[in-house]
Amino acid sequence: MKIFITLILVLLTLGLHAQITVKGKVTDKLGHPLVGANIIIKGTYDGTVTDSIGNFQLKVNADNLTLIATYIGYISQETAISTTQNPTIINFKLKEQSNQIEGVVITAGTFETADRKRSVTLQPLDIVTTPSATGDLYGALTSLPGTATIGEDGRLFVRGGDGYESKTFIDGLLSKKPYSSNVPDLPSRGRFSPFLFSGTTFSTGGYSAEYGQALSSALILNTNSFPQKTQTDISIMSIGGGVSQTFKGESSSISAGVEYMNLQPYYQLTTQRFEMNKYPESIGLTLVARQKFGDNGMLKIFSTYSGTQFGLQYPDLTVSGAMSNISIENKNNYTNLSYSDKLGKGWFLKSGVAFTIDQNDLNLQSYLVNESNRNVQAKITLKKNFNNNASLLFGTEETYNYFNQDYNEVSTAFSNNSNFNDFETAAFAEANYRPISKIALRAGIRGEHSSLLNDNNLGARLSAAVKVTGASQLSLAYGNFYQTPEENLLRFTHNLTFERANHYIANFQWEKSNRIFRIELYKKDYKNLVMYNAVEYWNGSLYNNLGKGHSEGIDVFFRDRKTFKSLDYWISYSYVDSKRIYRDYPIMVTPPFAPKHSASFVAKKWVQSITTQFGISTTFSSGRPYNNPNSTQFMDGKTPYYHDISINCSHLTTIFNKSTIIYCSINNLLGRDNIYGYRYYSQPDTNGVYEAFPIKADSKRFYFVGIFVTL
Amino acid sequence: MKKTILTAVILMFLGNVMAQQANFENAVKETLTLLDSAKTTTDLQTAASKFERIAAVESLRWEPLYYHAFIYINLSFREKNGDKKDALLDVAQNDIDKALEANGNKSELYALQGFLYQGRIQVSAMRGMSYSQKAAEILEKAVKENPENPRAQFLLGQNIYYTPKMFGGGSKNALPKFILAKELFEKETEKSDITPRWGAKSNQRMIDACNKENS
Repeated sequence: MKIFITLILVLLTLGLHAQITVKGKVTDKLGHPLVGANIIIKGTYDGTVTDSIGNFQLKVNADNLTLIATYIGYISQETAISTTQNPTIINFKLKEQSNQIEGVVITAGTFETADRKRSVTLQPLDIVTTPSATGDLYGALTSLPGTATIGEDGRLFVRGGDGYESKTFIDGLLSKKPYSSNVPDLPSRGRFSPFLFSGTTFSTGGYSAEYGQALSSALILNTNSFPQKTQTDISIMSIGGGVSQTFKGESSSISAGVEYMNLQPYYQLTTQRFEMNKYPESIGLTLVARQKFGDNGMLKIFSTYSGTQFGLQYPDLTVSGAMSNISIENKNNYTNLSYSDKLGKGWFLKSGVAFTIDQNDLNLQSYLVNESNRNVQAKITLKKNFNNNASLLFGTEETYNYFNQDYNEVSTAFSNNSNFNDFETAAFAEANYRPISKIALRAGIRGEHSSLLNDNNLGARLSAAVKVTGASQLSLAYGNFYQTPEENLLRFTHNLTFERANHYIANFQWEKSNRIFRIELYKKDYKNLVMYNAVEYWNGSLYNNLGKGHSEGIDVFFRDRKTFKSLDYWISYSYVDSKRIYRDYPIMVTPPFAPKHSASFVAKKWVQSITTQFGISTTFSSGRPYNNPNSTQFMDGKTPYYHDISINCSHLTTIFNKSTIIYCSINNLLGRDNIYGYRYYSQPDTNGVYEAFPIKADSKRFYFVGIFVTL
Repeated sequence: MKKTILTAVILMFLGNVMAQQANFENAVKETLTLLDSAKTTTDLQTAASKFERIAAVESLRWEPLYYHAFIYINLSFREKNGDKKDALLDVAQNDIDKALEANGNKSELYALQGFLYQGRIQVSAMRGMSYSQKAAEILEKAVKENPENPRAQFLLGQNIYYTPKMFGGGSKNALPKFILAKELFEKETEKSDITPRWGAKSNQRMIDACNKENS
């Protein structure tokens, strides 16, 4: 009973303690005052906020109290008041949380775009509305610095690198054949619609250890996470049409689409350079499915099939004036399954497997080339976030590559078959560390083994970024990159090693309220490039890894979405000095795919009153080298400069109450006769001169009209 | 005697608990009054700081987290810098996540989540498509949880209002939602407790704006 009375007394006496004053200041690490920081007396509702110079003052009961200081973007701090001194002075120095958006991100070599970030360079919609791209993912990327417009090829050529040096990854996994197949000298396009992807990271060098087998560049695409609603999309185009249906449930979704393209009507209305034997015709099927597991688990399935046929008459370069019928038939299937999940305690899992099955039959009249390629890649990656400042990523990947080529010469009945299997095993690890929010460091390592080459490689990837001011930052990157020689080089020998490139990159970026400016200096050294004899290209014993080369250059980019209302424009400029000796080159020269200067300008203006966006893009690049057999010097020819102006407009409207986009575009508006290079007849004419045949686009201008309806 | 004292103690204990409860409600109410009269950004921050303190003690209650998030979303609309907008919304997102864990009122928290998504759009028009979809989705969920929630209807109305006409948006299509919200706001009797009750005035402003545009 006494206890109860004591208890009552204790309860009654609460609040009778002497009050003291606590004063102090809240600052950041460097002593700058934090204005409006919250001071909490732990366990009570009481407290105060700091004034305009970071000071606070509180009257408290001098019990064993704890004060907590909190501020947005900073880690909260607790301090116990142990003295009864009046006034007591307590100062807080708060540490920054470095997962803040303002924290620095390494930008050397990368153009990243994602939903969450604003430092975007290209969004899926930007790709579709870039006039020169005609809806092609890779076409749009050539409006970024570091890339060259190679009109007769269509692949990505990055910083003086060949087309094969760039690889495309979808949800972390290799896409072995990301380009459509075409006959020689006519460009291929990306197989995949830009609408399938929500995030794009385009790296022109120095990329993460997670990605390998690419000497120059990695294009990392992430498919859309989950559809927003059940819908039907219909497209009617001047060159074909398509329909797709998306069903969306609570935790799963599926969408299936079919697309048919036939260029016959279009080609019959316009003039072409070549006569068509078989108008380009293709059918494409796409299946995308999603299944959520728990709160964060997500299984993604992405599968496409395409079948293409095309044939035309091309000069027979062995006999002057003769034409040969050439044709191509391609069947391609790509399937990508990936699963990602949060495992708790900062662990994150990403895993998947991707299959490519490709059959390509090329008929060049005098000879036939039938190629089949099968590629399977399985990959598992684990990431652990230790705290806001450090993370570790590691994983392993196994790639199986099968190649088979049948070569038949019609007149001589000569035939050759080459095929091989390669198992490539890779492991990688990468650590990210941010000692303070102004500095970011990344160090990675990647090791690979190829069963075919019976060889190993080990490469380091290092990068760092420092925030200079609130809006600007400096980044540096270094890396070793290896790539197994291309399939056509492994036809006659496997006694080769990995080709190799070292990247050195320095980048400065300034970004403020919808304006971004970046400038990047780089140097790339090539080693171990494959060489062979031009005449005896079939002689495996003459293959070696003695080729080498280098590229040095500067890339500049500026994008502005602020200065002019509803106007978005970007300017890119690249300078590259590239030389190499590889394949059958007799001496070190600038290759045809490395024009010295490239510049492009893209502008888009949205006019609200007529709900229409107008776009214009223009590309310029200096002349490209070509080899003229009439000259004694190797590769001393130079084409005229390249120039293109393209325009488009997209009009948003409703047809029968359904939202509709009407799109039209004209490529090469001025009809400039761009020459990409020359082919030469294999025999000199009566005057002893090799006659040239220019490589050009098959039509001067390209017109496109499409209607896209969403039901 | 013993019994009496025991009863007294129990009563006192209960009293204490009840007092604490009353204390909590009073503190929230007081801060809400402060919030209602807040004009400047500093006023809003002061109110937010109080809610933060209350939330720090009352970890089982969702209301202080709700209001803290609500103020931060409002602050994000006042902020001009995109990065800072996002940072403010990140704080609000953290609050909403915690409030849901504390078994807060789902309909109200989903509605607030929709409001937050609308804030994300302010950062970049490029986000418009995806975030307005996200907002619509979660707001529909809020309505499902409680069809009587006027804030969910009001925010759905806002979503439609700011969607381009050709995609089914615009004032004409939004007005029915605002009118429905108005009815629900009126039904929402002048609750003296601490559950959310904001929105009626803004809703009326939207109705006026719609009527003006359509007249």
